[in-house]
Amino acid sequence: MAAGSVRIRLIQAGAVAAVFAGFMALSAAFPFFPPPAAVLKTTLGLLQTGEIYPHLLVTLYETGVGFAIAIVLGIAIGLALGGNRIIGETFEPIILAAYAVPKIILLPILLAIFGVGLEAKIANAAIHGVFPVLLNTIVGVREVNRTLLKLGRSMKATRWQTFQKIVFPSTVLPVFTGIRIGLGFAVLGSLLAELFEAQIGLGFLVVHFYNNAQIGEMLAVILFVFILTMSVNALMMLIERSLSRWRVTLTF
Amino acid sequence: MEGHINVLIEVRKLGKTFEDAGGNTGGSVEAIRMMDFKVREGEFVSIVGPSGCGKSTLLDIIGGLEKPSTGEVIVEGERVESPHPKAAMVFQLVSVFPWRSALANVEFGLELRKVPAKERRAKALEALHLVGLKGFEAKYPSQLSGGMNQRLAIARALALDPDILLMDEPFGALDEQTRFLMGLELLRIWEATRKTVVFITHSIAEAIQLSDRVLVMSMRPGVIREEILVTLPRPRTIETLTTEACKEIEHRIWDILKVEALKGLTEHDAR
Repeated sequence: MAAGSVRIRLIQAGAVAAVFAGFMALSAAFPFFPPPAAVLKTTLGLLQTGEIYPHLLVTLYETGVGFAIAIVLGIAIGLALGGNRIIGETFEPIILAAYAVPKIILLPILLAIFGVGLEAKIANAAIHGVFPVLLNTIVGVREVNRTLLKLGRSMKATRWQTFQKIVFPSTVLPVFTGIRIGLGFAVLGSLLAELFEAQIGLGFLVVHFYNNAQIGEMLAVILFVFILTMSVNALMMLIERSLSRWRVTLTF
Repeated sequence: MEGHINVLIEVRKLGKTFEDAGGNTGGSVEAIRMMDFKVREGEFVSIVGPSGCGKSTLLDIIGGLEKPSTGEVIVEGERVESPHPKAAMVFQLVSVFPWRSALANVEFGLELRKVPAKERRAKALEALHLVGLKGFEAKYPSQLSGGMNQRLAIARALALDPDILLMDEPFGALDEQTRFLMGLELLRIWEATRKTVVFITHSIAEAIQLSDRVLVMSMRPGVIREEILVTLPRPRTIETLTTEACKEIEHRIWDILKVEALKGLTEHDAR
């Protein structure tokens, strides 16, 4: 590891320590907030008793299904919009406008349509997760190297071969970046929906502990969500980095 | 018909006008006008001209990537309607696949033609060795120099065993020394394979270094101003390229091009 990156790691460790210290100071000033060590202990307790697992599973399920829908829709619509100039110019402004709208405002509509069960959360996760995938796919398709496309034509590549051997491998990286960013938004979507109206799920659990003034437990769930999403994101970035090294053979 | 037997490419009364070209020219742009020339089998022909004279358009039409507005191109006795299977193109900009190894890059065209894996590999290896990239099979383009990447593009074209190589300023993005050395490399490959080559360039020196014949194009709309035979002996070396005879050819081409290039400049000033 180079000297520069050691320094960066040290500063990062310092920043984490600072947040920790800030938390301790906060809990000293307001006894309402339990100290970080106690929160950590409560988190471990929630894991040990298994109390958190049903909620975790539900949130993972909602996010997973919702985001799977988002990926399929995002890539399909993105390919159509990026690959066809007319479709792209027609619908892109509409999509960009929709992207700018805070999607949470649609939640009551989703609840009205799908009811208070898991479906509304899945839909909310999908709506939140779809845009980064969609927009990155559009950009990826548009930025396929023109010379490579020309080369493909000069060698009489069929439409499918052009997609399979030129367009698809060119878009893997931008699309995956969209997937990584979109996943965070999909988690946001399901948690927001659970905070608003639910009987189960991590979002619901946070609200539940809040309503019961169990601040320690509430913070424990929040900490758990933090660690969970950060680990998933770190994993995604690792995959992304290995993709960007072009070490994988992307032929199928 | 006897005299026509070894004519491989015939360009007849070729014209191309781009309708609604947009940009600062507004309406349509006439890129080339009434071009006529022939290329014989095994010949190395360069086309030089000022920037924007329609050289690349001409090559795209010969390669079947663009439809002519008037006239036609005949390759091996048949009118070109789409890319000819016996012609392979090499482009100016780096056109290698960054996600494919050198070997896999060369295999690309063979994959499109559904050549079985084993045969594909053998042909690709042969082409790689021919361009001097032996030992670099597993490297990725980002690990190779600009010159090596262009060799890769040439190998990819050669792997298809074409009769004709259509090269659009393949060394245009390289520095002068690399460019000269790549020229020598290309000559070596050409001597070994005797492909028919149509080579687009804006470098007079490069055209003379490589060609049997140089076609000098005018400013847009491109027409052929003059056809110049390069009678220098082969193989061409630094010695043959610094002789008086070579300088004389260079002067002749430059005299024609100067007029055309100046037209281009004043046209830009007028805008």
